Amino acid sequence: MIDMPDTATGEVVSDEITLRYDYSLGEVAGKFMQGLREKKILATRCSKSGLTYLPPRAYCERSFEPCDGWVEAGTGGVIECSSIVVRGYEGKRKAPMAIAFVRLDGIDTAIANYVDGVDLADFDEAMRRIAPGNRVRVEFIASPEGRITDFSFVLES
Amino acid sequence: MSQQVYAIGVGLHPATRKETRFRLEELVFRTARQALESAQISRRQLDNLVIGACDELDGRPISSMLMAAPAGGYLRDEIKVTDSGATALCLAYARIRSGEFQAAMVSSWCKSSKTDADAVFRLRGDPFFMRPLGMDNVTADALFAQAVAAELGITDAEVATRIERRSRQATANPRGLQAPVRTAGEIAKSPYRATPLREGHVPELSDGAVSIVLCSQAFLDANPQVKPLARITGVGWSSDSYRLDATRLRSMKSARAAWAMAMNQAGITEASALDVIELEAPTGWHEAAYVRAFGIEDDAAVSPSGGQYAQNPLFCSGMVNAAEAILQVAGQAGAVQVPAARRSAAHSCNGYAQQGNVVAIFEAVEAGI
Repeated sequence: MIDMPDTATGEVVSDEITLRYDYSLGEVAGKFMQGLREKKILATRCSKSGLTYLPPRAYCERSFEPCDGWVEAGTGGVIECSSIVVRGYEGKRKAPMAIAFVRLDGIDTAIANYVDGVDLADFDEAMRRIAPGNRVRVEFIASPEGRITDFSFVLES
Repeated sequence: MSQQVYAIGVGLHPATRKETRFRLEELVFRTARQALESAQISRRQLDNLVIGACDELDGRPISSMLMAAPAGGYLRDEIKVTDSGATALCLAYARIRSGEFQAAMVSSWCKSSKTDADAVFRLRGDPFFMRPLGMDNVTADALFAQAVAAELGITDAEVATRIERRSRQATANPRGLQAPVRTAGEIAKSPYRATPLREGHVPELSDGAVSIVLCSQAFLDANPQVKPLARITGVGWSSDSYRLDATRLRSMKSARAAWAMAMNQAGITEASALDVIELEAPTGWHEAAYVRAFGIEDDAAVSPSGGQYAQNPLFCSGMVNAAEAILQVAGQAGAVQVPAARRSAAHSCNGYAQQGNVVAIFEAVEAGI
């Protein structure tokens, strides 16, 4: 160890850096967001592997070819994984809120969004209701604006 | 045949919750110097530096521009990776195996207390599909916990028991925070952060820095005064898909691939051949999942350092694991020394819900295994 006189004061200098980024949606996310404005959920498809991607990808992870087609996802799907976020969350919703990755009908991958309409008073019971394997359907907001938060999931039954 | 690689020096900054006594530059310089003194070589004998650091957590872009020199890289070949400290260790290993380099300093650091670490994790979500929902490491780890609970039969009670055990081990680690023991009862009653993940399932963050000096067989032959601490016999790393669907979360493909790669290189087929396995477990669910994925049956071998309950400097926790694993086979682990440890492994994970994994395997040099 280095033997130096201890002159440290423990003082800190605080600084806050604010940066704004403009993220280009690009071809694929752009078409997806346009679809949301029309209350459609669009997925990309790779004709070589046959895989469909949501969120849409420009390329196929398996074939490493460009995704060369679009398909409209079903409005129902199956929860793949889920959680009720209780603390420290800074999304569009205030905690507690439910979130899930859902594989929509006809699609090979899962997309995340909030799950609405679940009573979160009892977390254990709520988790059973949004457990993997349960079905949900897509519900759009009244005036979509081309953002992922234009829709959420609600339990089918 | 490419050459053997040895760990010859280790420097570890004492575990600290919030290190305000030293700025980052001072912290790293002290740790790098400690590693050189441990190796009994001078900085001039290094021919390269590999840094593992995170600019967002350092609070400055391309932090290596400032940090290369205090890490020992003045006018030396320097390269930086941003996956994890353990990834930097593997890169340094590969560079020496290539024959292009003979002596490397590997430095990694993280002042987790410097900023809002959760906000940094939120930044890592893509801005179109994930970030607007508030996706962060806590939520991703909760999804992982739910997935491996179903896939591998892990229970809340098991997780609490494991954490209490690791927390007790950590109190014996002279390099640890000496945090109070978390009892299984307290852990099981702690509130949820994001179901099924509880507050008690997550180790506290700390500030830290670690430096490890690696060298080639040729370097050792030319410097007979240098006494190697360990030989690196295998490394493996892998990165899975960015997606967080059930297939990705349940399969633990990158962890299994990294483990298999390192074990294969080391010529080992069973986890039982390892006396020590330092696992990086961002939550108790991770540890329970890794012991199953890696086939670890002997709990006495799991993280004798206390793992992240001893210290958890986010970005370099995996490289701290490597330092602990090296000290074990060198017989220098102090109060947490596993008797007659001859082989050890260090594991690290990075990204949302352990997207990436790294494994390194070390052997005692004089054992002639």
